[in-house]
Amino acid sequence: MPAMLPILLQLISLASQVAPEVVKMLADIKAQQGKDADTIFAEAGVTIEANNLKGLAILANLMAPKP
Amino acid sequence: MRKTVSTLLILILVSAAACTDDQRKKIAKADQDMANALSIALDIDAGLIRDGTLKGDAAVAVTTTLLDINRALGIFNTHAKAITTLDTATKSDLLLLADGIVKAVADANQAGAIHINNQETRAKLASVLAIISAAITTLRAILQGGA
Repeated sequence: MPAMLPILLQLISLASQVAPEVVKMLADIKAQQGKDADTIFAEAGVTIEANNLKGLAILANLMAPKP
Repeated sequence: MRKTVSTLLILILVSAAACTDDQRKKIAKADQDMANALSIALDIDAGLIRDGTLKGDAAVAVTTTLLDINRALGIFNTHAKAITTLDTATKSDLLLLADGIVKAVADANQAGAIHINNQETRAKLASVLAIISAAITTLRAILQGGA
């Protein structure tokens, strides 16, 4: 894991040049440091549920009849 | 003597539990990283649709593949958070579920390659999907005992 961290951070840095939202993700990773596994899993679950709603909303918008 | 053995046993058990907790935390972090990256990917997808870069069947195809990744992530999250002991069997189960995420990411990259004509836009989505791939690499290292 420690060996993977520089690669991950480099990828995030690269991605941040094209997607500024990634900067927020980097801050989130730092914020995770003090949390236990159950809390992180629970938060990931909330994000996954939000992702599902976000994706379904995009699809619903695409399928909606256009004026 | 008995007290010394008991103390030693307790220390070993606490140490073993700490190791498992540490591994669970690393798995949880990889899980969270993937969920966050996918959230960004969906934001990018929504932005491309809003500005008309992605539309019609192409937009549906890309969004659907992103939702497929999220579904695979959801299954992984549900199983991983319920696991308290990381043994050979549970690690093997999680590796199988990680394979499901890998396949979904590959499908999303392919959908992007097929449906997104603009090279810069395609690279933008691919770079976020690369974060998920990197997290899976980390996950595999943990589950295969290398981290």
